[in-house]
Amino acid sequence: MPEPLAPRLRALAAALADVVRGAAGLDEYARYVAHHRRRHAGEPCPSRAEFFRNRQSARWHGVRRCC
Amino acid sequence: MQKLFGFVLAIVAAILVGGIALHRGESINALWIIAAAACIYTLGYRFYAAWISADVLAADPTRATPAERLDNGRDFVPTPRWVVFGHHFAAIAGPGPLIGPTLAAQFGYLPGTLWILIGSVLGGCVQDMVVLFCSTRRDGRTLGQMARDELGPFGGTAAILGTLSIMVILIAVLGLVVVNAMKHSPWATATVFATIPIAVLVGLYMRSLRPGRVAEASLLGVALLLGAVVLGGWVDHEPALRTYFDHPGTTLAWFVIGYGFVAAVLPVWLLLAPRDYLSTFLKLGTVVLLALAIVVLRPELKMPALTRFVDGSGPIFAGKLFPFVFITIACGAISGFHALVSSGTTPKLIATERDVRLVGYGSMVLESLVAIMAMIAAALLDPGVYFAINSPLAALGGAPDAAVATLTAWGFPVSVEQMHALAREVGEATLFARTGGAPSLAVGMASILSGVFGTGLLAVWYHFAIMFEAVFILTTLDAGTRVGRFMLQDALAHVWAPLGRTSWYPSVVLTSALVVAAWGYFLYVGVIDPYGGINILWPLFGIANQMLAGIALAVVTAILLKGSHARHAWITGIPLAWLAVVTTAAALEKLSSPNPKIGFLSGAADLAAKLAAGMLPPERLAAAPKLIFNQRLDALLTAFFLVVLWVVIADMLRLAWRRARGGRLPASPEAPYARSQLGEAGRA
Repeated sequence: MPEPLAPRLRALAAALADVVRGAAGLDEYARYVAHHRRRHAGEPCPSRAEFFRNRQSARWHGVRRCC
Repeated sequence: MQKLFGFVLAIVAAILVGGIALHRGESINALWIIAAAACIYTLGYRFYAAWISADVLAADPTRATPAERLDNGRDFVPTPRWVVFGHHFAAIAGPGPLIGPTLAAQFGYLPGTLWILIGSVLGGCVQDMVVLFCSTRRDGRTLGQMARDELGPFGGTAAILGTLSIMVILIAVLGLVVVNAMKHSPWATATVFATIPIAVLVGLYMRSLRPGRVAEASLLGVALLLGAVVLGGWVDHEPALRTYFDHPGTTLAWFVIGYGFVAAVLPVWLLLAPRDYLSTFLKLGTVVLLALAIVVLRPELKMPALTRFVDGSGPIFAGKLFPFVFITIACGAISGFHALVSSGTTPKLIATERDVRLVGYGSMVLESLVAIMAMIAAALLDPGVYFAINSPLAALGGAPDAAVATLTAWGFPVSVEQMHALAREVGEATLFARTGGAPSLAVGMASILSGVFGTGLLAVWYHFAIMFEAVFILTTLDAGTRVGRFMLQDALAHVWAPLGRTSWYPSVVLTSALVVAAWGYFLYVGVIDPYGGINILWPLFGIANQMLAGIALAVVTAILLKGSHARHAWITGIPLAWLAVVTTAAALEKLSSPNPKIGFLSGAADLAAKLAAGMLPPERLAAAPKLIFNQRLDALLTAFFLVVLWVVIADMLRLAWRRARGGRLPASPEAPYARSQLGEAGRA
């Protein structure tokens, strides 16, 4: 019995959206906020701008681009 | 069921590959190749990679990964698998898989295609996946650190030296590709120049105007880049403006060198980061567009399956099919460079060891598909046109008239009028001798895309393709310069500690200048070389890249030998053996071939003899001593790569020998087992 098509297409679209997100690092901040809530509840969370500044210099520090 | 599926797929793949291989005399449709590739990738991913993951690496979904154990929300973050896939693919895919196959098409489409398919499924994908896995088990240690741990201090030093030198060669050859695309082309030059202020604008937007809004800023940037392509066309039609953008190769080389230096000392957020975002979006968009266009249009390949140049007399680069096709196509089949990304950054995002197959093997499959598309784009050009664009004029007899006569005599008919008409259509003054792959790929891409969207836009598509490659290349150029600078600072810190401080400006300026001078030298000599420089630099890059892959494979083979699955160490041992054979064969030929077109030393000797005998035309006199010195330097580098590769392999063989004689090997330092607390939801 094959799975119905609509949910599979939806899963495919979600995966593609994830790929784009990962390639550009689009939801890094949202993930950090989730992490912060989990581990450091009660402490002030860095703003989007602060987090972005911090991450940007780290992200291009090592080998991040191939031939 | 699984087995039946695999069996059917294997038969289909065999029929398709057989069909491609035996299809001689008439043209073949690109769809055959795409279909064969799809079957082979599926077989590799569903069966070989699954087996390696389960039985050789023994990926354990109950084991907590470093992303979970060391989660800090920043670099160690358990991340959904498709997001890591996107991140990893963006990091491994650069301009390499677009250029190598384009050059290797001089042998015909068959050898390159087979090597891309087989090399990736059995070699490159396996390397990326196993390195990723080993690094994940070791808290994201880098290749250099793993080499030191597994093979000893020499292995570690070799990995670092290898990385530094490959970076220098890579940047030089990529710079050369951009220079050849911009040479005396106001449209291309204006468009490529415009990408710089656009990137700065996007950087300011992300930093100050709307901090952290990456998607918004990138969309704005991509729109501006498309505008820049059109703007370049307008500049080209304004006689007063176009002279400002009409430059010879040497001027453009100095521009690229100056740009590389400035970009490396500027803060990351101003230029490098925004352009990296832009190239990521451009790359994903273009790859999807090209794949769709090939499927919709189903173009016929006009290049023969094999050309006469398998005998080594090719005009684009000299050397026989074996071993040169295997080093010309590195990225797309197997690329040592990927081992640097697979260790270090990506392992810190892996949520569960089960994802390693998708991220490591899967991303490389996609990269390999990009290489296949580049091969198709080159092979659907008229062979005569393809050779006229990619061969240096000096290799074809000097002037356009002589060049078309030579090509036609070789059986690849083309005329000067045809080349002029094509150049006019794409908005260029000439397409002759645009060595390096970018313009021929652009013509190929432009003709595919204009087939879908109408031919009126051929010139715009051509310059879009040039811009797309230039954005890629410039990103690699300054990212690579920066990495080279960090490594150099690391090394110089042993000489004088303050030099190692990455934020101390005098050290930043000094080390950046040293790295830029190193690649700038090779770039400049390439530009003044009448044979275009690509024929020298690309093989050197291929040898260096395959040497790095050899180091990576030797390290992970050593790790496999030390573990409980030593009898399966052949999964990386066989690719390693093959790379050792082709890299050694190619390096020895580059060192000792008596043919001055192939051997570096005989090339230098030949030129020196001509210079001494006064046989060189006056315009070549000034460059000759530099070219002679350069070829000798290239020979030295090749010998160095060869020695490093074999010392690392010998280190690994020492372990294998001890193991085979029943000796005990020191345990490989894995992070201890901890049970994963992430539920299925956390792994998504």
